[in-house]
Amino acid sequence: MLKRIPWEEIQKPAYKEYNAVEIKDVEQEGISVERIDANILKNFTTDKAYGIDPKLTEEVEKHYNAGFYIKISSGKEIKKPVVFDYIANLQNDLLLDYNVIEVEPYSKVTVVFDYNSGEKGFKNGITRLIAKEGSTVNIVKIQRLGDDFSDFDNCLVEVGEKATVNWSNVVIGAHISAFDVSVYLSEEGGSFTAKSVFLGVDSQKYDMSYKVYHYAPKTTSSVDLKGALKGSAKATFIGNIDIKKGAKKAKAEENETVLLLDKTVRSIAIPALYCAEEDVQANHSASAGQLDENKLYYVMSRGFSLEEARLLMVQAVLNPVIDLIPYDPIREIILRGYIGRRIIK
Amino acid sequence: MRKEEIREIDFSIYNIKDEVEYEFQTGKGLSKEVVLEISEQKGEPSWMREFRLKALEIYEKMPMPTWGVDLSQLDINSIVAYIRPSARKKTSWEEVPEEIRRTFERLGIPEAEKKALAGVGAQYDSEVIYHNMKESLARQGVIFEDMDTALKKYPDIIREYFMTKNVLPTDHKFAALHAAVWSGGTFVYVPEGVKVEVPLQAYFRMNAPGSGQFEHTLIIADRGSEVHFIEGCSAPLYSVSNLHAGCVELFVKEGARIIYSTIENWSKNTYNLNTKRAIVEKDGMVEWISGSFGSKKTMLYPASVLVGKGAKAEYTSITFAAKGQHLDTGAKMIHLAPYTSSKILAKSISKDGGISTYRGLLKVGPEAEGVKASVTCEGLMLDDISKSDTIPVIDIENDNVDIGHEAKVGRISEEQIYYLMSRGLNEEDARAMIVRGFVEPIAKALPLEYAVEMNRLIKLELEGAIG
Repeated sequence: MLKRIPWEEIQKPAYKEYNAVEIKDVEQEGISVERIDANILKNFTTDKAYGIDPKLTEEVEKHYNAGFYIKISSGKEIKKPVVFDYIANLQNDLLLDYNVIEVEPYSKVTVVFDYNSGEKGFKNGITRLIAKEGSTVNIVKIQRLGDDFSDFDNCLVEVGEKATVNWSNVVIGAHISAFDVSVYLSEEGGSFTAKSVFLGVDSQKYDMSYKVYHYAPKTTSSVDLKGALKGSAKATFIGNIDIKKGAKKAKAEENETVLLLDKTVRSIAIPALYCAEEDVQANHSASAGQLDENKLYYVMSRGFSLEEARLLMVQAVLNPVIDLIPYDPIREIILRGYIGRRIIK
Repeated sequence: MRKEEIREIDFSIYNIKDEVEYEFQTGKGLSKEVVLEISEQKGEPSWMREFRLKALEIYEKMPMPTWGVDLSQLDINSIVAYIRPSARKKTSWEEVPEEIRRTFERLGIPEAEKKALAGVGAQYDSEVIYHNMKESLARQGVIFEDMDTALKKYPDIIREYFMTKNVLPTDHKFAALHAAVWSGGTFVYVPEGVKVEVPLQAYFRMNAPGSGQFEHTLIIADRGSEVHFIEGCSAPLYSVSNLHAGCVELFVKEGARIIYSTIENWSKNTYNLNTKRAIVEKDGMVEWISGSFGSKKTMLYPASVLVGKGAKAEYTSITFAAKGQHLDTGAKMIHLAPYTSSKILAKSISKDGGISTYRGLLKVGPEAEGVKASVTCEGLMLDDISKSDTIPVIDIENDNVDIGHEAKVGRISEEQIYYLMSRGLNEEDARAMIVRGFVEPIAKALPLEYAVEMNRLIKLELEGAIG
């Protein structure tokens, strides 16, 4: 892992407080939100492996300056998405957030993390999700930080019996951005689905990994990552499906599609599949290529410029995932603002 | 439902140990003295001796690989690097000493030569003991020699090509080891425009316990030529480890084509740490076809470096990992020129705790526009104590490419069995038919005479399934 992240390019501001988070729709029945502290964290120690690099998880564990403990009571359905709006600006250019989401049995919730704004800075965070028996949890992580940000996100997901976790990463911002989502399906019937997108332009460097561990029978997982690269952007994708002995009737699938828009891009994919159980269905696929010339030609024959036609086609790949963002204002900003501005220059 | 029983491959035919007298062997382990002794025994030119010594230095400096299979039990200091049977190279079977001849006859080599091959080389431990080629080919200028003879007869060509621009001693620890202690192997040169219609064959046999085999294969296919080369490997089973660290260097010149087929059936005490690489020029093509059944641990990733416009590479393999085996194989496709294409089809079967790993690299350089490449991996698990891992790396440095990768792993599906049984087959036959269908693409790609050997191996499996 270490080799792929250009540590020497990362600039870190001196340690300071972070005070620019806005929380939306937290006053719903069944939710409690507290600022994270050592007292809370001592209940959530873990020996499970996760994170981009131990150096990064340690940094958050020791020096976190933001983050929340979000608890959903059992059997509650939280109607409106809860949004954590982590804003960056000149005063708040160092964000080390530590979030723990504990979802009690048979409740439903959607939580959105929106890391945005700012120009230059450093963000490193941990998000722990504990989805208990029969719960349904939707997590959306949007990263649209300023162009000179370094961004790291370390996530540990524990899926309980017959619980369902739907996860989305939307990666658009920052100069260097890396995330790791490690998922443990240790209880029978647990299910994890990831639908994520990225758009890398100029000299952006992305490093994305999903590691899904199937320990229990009848667990299912699906990882679907779609993205586009332009300019001299570079993306690395690691997708590990690891089916342990005993995970009978597990089903796992993984798919990556990358659109390559310029000659100077770089795309690395390692979709690994480890299997120690026979009674399973596991497959993965990856593809990379240009926009279909015939389609481009068709769209242009209808009066669009080349740039517009390219934008339309990139949107056609990314939108199905962006449409899943359960929070209208952000979805609109991403669709109209970010993607368009980045493809048409 | 009764579970299908698939037996271990019957290795008895490969297991016959010969009482052969050895004329000369180095002591165990590796040292400057050992390397000098090998060179001395062979009466090599001084540049080769220097080359060996330099490689030994590199070997000593390089670390053991820490990825792939577990090599902690491999003790190179207990391996005899060079061991020569008291038989000189012969060109007719009758002259080959009886014990050695019997072994190869049991393996079916001379019969195959009579029926289907243009030339045969047979290597016994460190030295080639039999070498022959059809006269018609010699008349066309085809060179098919054992490596030691080639070094004497064509020193300039060997000096130019031998581990200088393809596989280098600095590539990894076992390439350096090979360069230091190599012995035997084959040199093939096919002149411009010559198409060798029937395959050439080399058969490698390790007989002595605790020995290493380090044969070197160098094939140069000149412009527009074609050749099919087949290698077979086997060894009897001993309780001590044997080491095979061969090296294959292929040069595919403009418009030429090399097919390289391997049936590897080393005994299950063998560490098979082999290096194979092809450099393919404009419009050339290399095809690797490989069946890996034997060895205790294997690390082998044939590489195709596509340096000329329109060059092509294909890799088709079946890996069978049974009890106690960890076979870590795959292919490297390096696209460095425009409009090059490559195709990988890797299949594996794991049973009785065997581990099969596909580990591959598909790399497309910044200049390689218009590349088309596909990777397909399929793993079949026959029980729940085995493992099947797939680790493909795809690294792309330009936009004008069409790349696809697919992998799946699973067991024989109940639906397929059900369907075949509804058509009147019993369960065992249905399972056997599905396994046969699974390996068919590879069996089909092999030339007849080697498909025979592979079919025998597969059949033994399936007999277990049916009986």
